[in-house]
Amino acid sequence: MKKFRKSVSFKSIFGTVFLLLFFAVIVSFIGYRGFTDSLLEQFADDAFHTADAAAFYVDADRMDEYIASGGTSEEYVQVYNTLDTICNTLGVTFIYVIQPDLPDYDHITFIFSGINHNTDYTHYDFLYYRETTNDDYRTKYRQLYEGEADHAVVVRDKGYIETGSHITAMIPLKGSDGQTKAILCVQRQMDDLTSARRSFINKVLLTMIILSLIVIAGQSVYLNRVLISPLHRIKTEAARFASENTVSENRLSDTIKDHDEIWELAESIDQMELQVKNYVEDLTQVTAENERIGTELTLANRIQSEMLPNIFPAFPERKEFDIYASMDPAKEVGGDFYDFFLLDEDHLGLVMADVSGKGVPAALFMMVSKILIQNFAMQGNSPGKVLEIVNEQISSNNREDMFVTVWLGYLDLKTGKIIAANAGHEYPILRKPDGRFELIRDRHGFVIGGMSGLKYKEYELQLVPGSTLFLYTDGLPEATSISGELFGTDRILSTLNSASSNDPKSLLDAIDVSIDAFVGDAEQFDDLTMLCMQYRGAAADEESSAPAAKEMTVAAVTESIDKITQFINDELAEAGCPFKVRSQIDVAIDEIFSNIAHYAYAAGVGKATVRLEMLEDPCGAAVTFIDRGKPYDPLAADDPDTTLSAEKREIGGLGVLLVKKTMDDVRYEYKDGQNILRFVKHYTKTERS
Amino acid sequence: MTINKTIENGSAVFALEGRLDTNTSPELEEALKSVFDGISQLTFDFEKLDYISSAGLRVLLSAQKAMNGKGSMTVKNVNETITEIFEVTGFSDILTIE
Repeated sequence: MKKFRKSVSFKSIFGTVFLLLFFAVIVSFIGYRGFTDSLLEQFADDAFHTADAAAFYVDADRMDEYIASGGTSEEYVQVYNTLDTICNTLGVTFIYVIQPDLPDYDHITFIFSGINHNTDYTHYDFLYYRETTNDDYRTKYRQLYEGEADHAVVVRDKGYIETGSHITAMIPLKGSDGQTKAILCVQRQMDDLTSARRSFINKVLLTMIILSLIVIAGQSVYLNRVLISPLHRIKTEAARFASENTVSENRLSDTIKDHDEIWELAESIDQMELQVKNYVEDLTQVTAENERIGTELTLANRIQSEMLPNIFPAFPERKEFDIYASMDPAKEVGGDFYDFFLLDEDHLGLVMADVSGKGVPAALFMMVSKILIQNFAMQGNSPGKVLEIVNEQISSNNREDMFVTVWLGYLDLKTGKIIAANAGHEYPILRKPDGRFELIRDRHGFVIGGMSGLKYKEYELQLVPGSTLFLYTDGLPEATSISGELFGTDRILSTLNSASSNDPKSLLDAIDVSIDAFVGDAEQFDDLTMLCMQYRGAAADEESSAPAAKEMTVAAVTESIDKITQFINDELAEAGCPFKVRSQIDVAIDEIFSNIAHYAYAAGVGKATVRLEMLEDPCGAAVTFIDRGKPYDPLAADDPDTTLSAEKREIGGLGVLLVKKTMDDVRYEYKDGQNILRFVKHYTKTERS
Repeated sequence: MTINKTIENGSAVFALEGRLDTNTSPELEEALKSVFDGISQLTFDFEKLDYISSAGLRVLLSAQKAMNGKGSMTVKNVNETITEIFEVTGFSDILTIE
């Protein structure tokens, strides 16, 4: 029922019925007024006819005689009886003749009173004297006496009237002198009028109720057919479409005959279904296209990075230098590149370049530049010459106005001398073994691709064994933090100078970590590309150089343990370390590294480096674990009590205890934001089997 | 690590091969869970086990605790490295080593 009251049908029917009732009330009111007025007029006419007839029998000039007769004279009695007869025959209730008291008409004296015998009325006493009934009568009496009117009517049908509602018609009885001597009144009951009016109202009401019922029934059926039923179909179809997402075979608008608003709504729904369907199809297609582009970009990224030397160590057989490089594009493909290649037995070519722009156009440009530079370098041209030729080649057909900055250097592996040329690229960074990393403010030529006909000046750098050269693109100094601050070359230098290890890979890792921390959550805006090369001196010097530490950096998760164990175990086996010692070292690695994996970082986000140094005199091995997690000294805790029974034993601390007991020396320090744990184990070499 | 499991007349033998360390201990723990009910004798054969780390010790300790109520647990064929580990950690006093 509640639902029905909220329905369109209810509202519409309610409105119509309300209007009908409103009109019914107005019609009834007008009808009632007209009905009453015309009946009253008729009643009044009747009453006046009666009054005229009665007046015929009453002689106005003899009024004083009638009074003087005391009501007993033959004449008086004759008139008296005649009035009764008129009452009975003409059906009026009461005919009376009165004289009001002049001049205020406050009281009246009844001279004659004739009554209808069929009523409860009785005759007034002769000369009955009483107060005038009300102001209405008083006014009328006055008008008749003063000649202002020749007849008057008083209607009494409102409120309670002792004698029932009636109409009184009055005419003046004038003497031969024209003066009003008395007033003759005829009273006629109006019960007929009241009952006729009641019947009229009843009929109007009944008609209206029947009409309303017909309207309700008719409108319900009609509304249901033209409005509710189509709306319901539209609702059902909309719900179906929402859940199935398929266009209906039958158009909704075809089910509606009239082209009215409902049809327009249905038509809109039909259109919407088609459009949504088309939109979804378009979207699917676009998504598929995007996926295809994404796949191709991933492939392009792989091809691009595979174009660059990316297997390290790159030249394991060359002891004169150690090199490491990385490229981290901001988009799927980038415009930065590094490159290095042996020009001949004694010369290493080093390239660091940055193409303007990013994305696919930069990547294409980068590929061309890389190939051209390497090809012309391999043909024996000097760095300056190579840049000059490449610039000619690129400028001659560069409608897109792209350009590339290049630093190109050739390292003489025997002497450590570098001949380099710089086409608008960032300053290289160099460290002598006993010094600090410093910018080499070399002389820049113009970028490649800018204009043709340019020459590039060459300059020399002298490296000594232990010197480290660091090349990078502007993505490093221009790495931006959340607050908009640039990383800058000063931070590059301080990061390199404070790095715990000096091998190229560690230096690059240190820069990576430092930039990550600096940039935080800001989006990587430019490609990050860098190359680090350490010159170790001519091959003849190899024997005298201290054996280098070997290390690997892995994700700080327990899954890395096998990798580390494998790496160290292989190295130790190679060095003639006995099986038992290797097992002990394996256990120690397991204990230390599982600690780092579990506690150093939040789940799976950090890296850890494991370094192996072979010791001589006494023979042994030192393993160092470095992580940048929260400071934690595993050696600080007390050793667990190993004498308790099985039931009381706790397992915590046993691992560290094992390391302490089986290794010869275990130390921990926290330095430069790094947890550094190092243990040493001495052993006696066995013959290799 | 490889686990060779033999169960006969309420006695189970776990012959382990390789290393019992952080990454392999959960495997052994899982394998043990399913046999505790219904055995009264549990034997570990360490003949081919290279070494054991504290994660492995933890599993042995829980196994020992589980068996204490209902039977016995024995570890046999323990190599020198592992014997040392047991001694250093006091496990040689808890375990029955043959």
